[in-house]
Amino acid sequence: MKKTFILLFLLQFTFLSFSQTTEEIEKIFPNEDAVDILRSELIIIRDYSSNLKITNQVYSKKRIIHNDNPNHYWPDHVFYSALSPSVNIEGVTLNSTIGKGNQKAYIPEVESMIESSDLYSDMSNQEVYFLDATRGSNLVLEFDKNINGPLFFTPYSFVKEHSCLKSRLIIRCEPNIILGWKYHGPDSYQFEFTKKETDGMVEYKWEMDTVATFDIETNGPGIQELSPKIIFYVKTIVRDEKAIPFLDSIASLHKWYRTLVKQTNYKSKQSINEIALEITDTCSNEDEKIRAVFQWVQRNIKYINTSIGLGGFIPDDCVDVLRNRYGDCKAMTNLTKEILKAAGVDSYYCWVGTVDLPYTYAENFTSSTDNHMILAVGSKDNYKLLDATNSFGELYKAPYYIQGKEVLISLGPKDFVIHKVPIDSAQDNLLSDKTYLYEEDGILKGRAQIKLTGSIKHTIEMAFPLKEEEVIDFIAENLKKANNKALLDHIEYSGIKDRTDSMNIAYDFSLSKYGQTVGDKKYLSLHFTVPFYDDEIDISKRKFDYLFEIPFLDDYDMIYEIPEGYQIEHMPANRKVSFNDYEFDLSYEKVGSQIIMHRKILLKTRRIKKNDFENWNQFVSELKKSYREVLVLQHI
Amino acid sequence: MKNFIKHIIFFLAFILVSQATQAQRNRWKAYDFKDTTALDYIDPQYLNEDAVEIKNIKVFEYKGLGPSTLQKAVYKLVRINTDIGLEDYNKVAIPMYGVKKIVDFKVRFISPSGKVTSMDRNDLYEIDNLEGYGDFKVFAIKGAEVGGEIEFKYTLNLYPSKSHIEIYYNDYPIQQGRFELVAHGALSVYVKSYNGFPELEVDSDGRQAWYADLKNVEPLKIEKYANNTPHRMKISYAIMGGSEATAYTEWRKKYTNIYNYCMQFSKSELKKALKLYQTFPLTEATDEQKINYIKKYCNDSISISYSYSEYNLHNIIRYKMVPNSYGKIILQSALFEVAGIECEIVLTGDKTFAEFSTDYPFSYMVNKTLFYFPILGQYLEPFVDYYPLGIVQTDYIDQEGYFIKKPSATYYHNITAVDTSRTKTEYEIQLELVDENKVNIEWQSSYRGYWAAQYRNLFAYLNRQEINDYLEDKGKRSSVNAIVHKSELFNDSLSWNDSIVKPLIIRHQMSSDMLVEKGGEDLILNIGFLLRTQANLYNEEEERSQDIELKSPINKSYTIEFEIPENYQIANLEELIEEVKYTNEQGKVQAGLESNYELNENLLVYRISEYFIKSSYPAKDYEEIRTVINQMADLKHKSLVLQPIENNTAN
Repeated sequence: MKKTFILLFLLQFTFLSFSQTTEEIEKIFPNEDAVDILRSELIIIRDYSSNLKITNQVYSKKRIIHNDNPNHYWPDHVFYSALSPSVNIEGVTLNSTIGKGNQKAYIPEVESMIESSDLYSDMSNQEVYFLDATRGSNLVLEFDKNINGPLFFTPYSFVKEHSCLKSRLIIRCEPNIILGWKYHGPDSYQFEFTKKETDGMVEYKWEMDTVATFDIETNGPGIQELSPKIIFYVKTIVRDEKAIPFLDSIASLHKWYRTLVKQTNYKSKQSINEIALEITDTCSNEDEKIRAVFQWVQRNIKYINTSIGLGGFIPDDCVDVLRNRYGDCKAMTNLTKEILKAAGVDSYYCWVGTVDLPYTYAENFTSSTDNHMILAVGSKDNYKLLDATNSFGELYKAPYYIQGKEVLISLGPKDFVIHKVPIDSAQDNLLSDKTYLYEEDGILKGRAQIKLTGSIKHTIEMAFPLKEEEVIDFIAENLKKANNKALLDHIEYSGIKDRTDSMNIAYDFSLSKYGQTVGDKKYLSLHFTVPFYDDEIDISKRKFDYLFEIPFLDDYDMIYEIPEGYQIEHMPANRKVSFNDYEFDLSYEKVGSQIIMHRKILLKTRRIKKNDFENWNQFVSELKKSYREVLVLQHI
Repeated sequence: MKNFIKHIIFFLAFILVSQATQAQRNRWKAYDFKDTTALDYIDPQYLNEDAVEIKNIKVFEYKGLGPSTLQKAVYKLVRINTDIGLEDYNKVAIPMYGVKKIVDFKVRFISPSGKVTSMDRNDLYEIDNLEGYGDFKVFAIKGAEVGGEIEFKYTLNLYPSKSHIEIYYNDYPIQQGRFELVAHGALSVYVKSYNGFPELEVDSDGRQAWYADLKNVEPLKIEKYANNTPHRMKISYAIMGGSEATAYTEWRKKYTNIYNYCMQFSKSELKKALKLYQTFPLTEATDEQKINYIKKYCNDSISISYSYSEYNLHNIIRYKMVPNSYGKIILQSALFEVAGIECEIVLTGDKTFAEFSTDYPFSYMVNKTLFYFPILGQYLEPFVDYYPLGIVQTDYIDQEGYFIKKPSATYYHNITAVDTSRTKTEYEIQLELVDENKVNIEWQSSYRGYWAAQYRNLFAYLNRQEINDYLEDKGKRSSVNAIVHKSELFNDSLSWNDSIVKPLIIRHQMSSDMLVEKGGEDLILNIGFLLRTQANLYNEEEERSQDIELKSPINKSYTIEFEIPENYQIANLEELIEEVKYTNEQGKVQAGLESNYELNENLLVYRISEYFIKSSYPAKDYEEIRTVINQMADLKHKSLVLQPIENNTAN
């Protein structure tokens, strides 16, 4: 009854406020197939003396501008987890042309969602199919979200898939519950905030009008960074005239995280002690112990994720992880910590967000700020990080997806520190290619020697096959010479999956159908790889920064033996272009019977900012010019 | 007293017989974990494999027909040799489709040192409706490490089906395996082995049971240009209850059903159908147009309602409702009849899954119904939009089919592809060299037949923005990083009076700065980067085991026009002339590549034609086909070398 009343109230309000025609809406958002007339969430928080009861009613009303579906279906969906299940999901097409009145949406059986690294996850996807959705139709979707507690609030995004005429978050709480909040997102958005008392509750309201959605661009920031959102949290609860801090700072978050890790490791640790002894028996100092334990976990514990409810936050018992030989990041961290502890080495739980989560802990001290757990050893000013989920990563090497992020290092029940994960320099991520090229019986042949370090090595070796017969195809595909008509032979490699920081690959190759021989001339490009050739930015269309996963150095040397009977008719010009964050240096020289090309391309940054696009395009343009220049040889 | 003892004896005899009978059931209990935790013997040839299935046992046991139970038991013992093997085996998913109950489940891992970690059904996670693919139960192998063995066994009670195909999707060798089929109470059982699966032998204890032993079964070598799944080892069977039941009678039943419902109509039904037909605007229409109109009418105007149960033609026409798509076949068939168009109904199956044969009564084979029009020699997909008369989905081309015709006859025939003159792709490309860096490209792609049908079907599911994005991506041609300035789409839908030869046209205006290379004063225009070449078989030199399969016959042509810049000439025109053909033993050309050029002053017109007249070629022709395919792939390396025209100082 109450829900019906709220629905009617909202519908009426909508009718009064949003009488825009479809044509008018189309003018505001010309490229959209549908626009949310209203998106609204109403969260009510009540205090039941020992715990807080939270309800969340979600409502959206959508106007259809175009629907190309021949059966006039319009699909929508609701994602949720077992921790915050969505229930009472209803959809309706208002004033349908089929029959009389409103047309209920078809809601099929809910689907489970599993990522490839998951064994099991409690994520669900409920599809909702609106019927008779034609131009001008209004589609209403509403459901309730059961939030397990205020610690599991997630930020409210003002806009999602479709642009929105009005987006609104309302939180009503009892007066003894003090809310905190922050805005996170681009500065270009404006919203209105009001706070008032109503019916004995305090109502907080945030509204944003005419919010355009955005497409996620290739190599662009993710939705977390781009979307305007409100991060909210229960700051304080007043009970018996005493203000009890709830989640008012990073310290509160840390305190909660500590309660989670306290809820594990209850089983007898005999097996942990035994394995610790076995692993560190021959170690003579702490550093060796850390290395031995860390690499043992990397080798012997497989990453398998099972996210179920609160288990998604509490690490599995270290004894279970050891027995099972698998676990997620929390489990692997927990096991590593306990084995180190048994070996007499202190270490610290750490929480960190991956690069797609754009928050600092100061900006967002709720649980949505991070999604990964690792370990730290060391001491003040010299913390070293251990991420065992990085199966082949070198000791203390942070994987690229957390570099640059803040880590919350828990030093004790109340003590913590925020540490920034350093970003590799470009030189740490090296792709070095030294190739010797010559001609034999009219066929171009050569020997390549490739060295990869850092995150580049990591990316390649994760996929590197162990079967000999697959290695050739893998190298040809990923490190191919010029084109896929290369035949590879005498392949040698080392450093693959050995948890060091560099790997080497060498092989002979022969290339048919490369270059041209026309009359008495030969034409040959010495650029067998062409980094960044497709990274020129369309400034007229691009809205957001351009991102790369890692900074790197491409160090490429080609030595070409001039075939007998030929001389150089044309050698490409040397080029050098240098900007603050990227540069290249290309040179050719003739040394005896050889032409030597040196090419160095250095990308020092992971982000090309919008105000740097013109410089970047100039850099890429010059690089492409150099790729287009070929060597010309003339028969003597 | 005597009678009392006699009853006891009979009673005891009854008990003993019952016990014996019971012992013959529940075959799954015969297989269990090995007694020892020592690692099993591995054939030395498998020591370098990532994993080896030391034992792979499957038992299918029918406990009678009708509502009785089918039990499936699976037992596996797997040695894990490497991380890759571990990755592949440490998570197991059991599909729950058709499963009534899990009767038995246990798993254990034996480490190299003999330590055992056990699991039971409490370790099963239940996943409901995983992304629409149905329910699964999943488990992870606890304690798994390289060098150890995974041993698991589970038994399922299934909803019984009369036929089944068990495909061995093994990616690793099977050292020893066994397949058992037990069919209590069945009177006829048909089995068929495929692709090296051994023939089933009768179990020696005389029950209705058969078995086959496997030894050293290698995984299928995955080959390019092949339908790999049909070549996997498999065993299929069908269970029938009547003593007269044979493959022939089962197909006869199927045929009779279809004939009676879909091809035999009463006078009043035909009268009703005629009345409906006369409302169609088809007085001037050709047979092809009539067929397309009837199909469109049936798909657009007739709804499927699962709560409706009528197959009666009168009511179908009256209420415009059918219980399933079978009902639409009935209506289409009746309308073809009143339109005076002779038609046959074809039952067939997906060739990428299994071969089709009516020698065996395997109903799983049939997953497609088509119409065939013998006078026109064309096939019709009765339900799939954008597949007009002539085009069927490529998974059914060259597959065998069971044809049902009037009056009351059947035959067995290959489903032929449409003639390549009616299914072709034409690319018309105009290139303009703007300067030594940039090339403008005007590109028109015209698709007829199979490709047109697939694109039209795809675009029907995309909204405008998605179509625009798709066209832009298509234009970009990653190897040349083209900038797409404009994309247009024409004829993305078909009306009933269109035929398959109405082309779907995509036009692009693009430019690229990665097509031209410069060497001094000379320019190299890498036109090959633009071409949609065949995937090569450069490195695939080993003997071929599977037939060569293409999705459909190919008939593709390029016409490339290039305005040669002033004061330049093309130095390598002779490289534009190519011809390679494959002719079979009967002297018929099967496939080829031909290219040539014309030079009209400074306009170069370069024409390329690629063709395969069939979609399937035997493995013995592999080298010849490979030569043609590689020549087509080599088009990627085509370049025009432009050299300045040297000034003639004699003037």
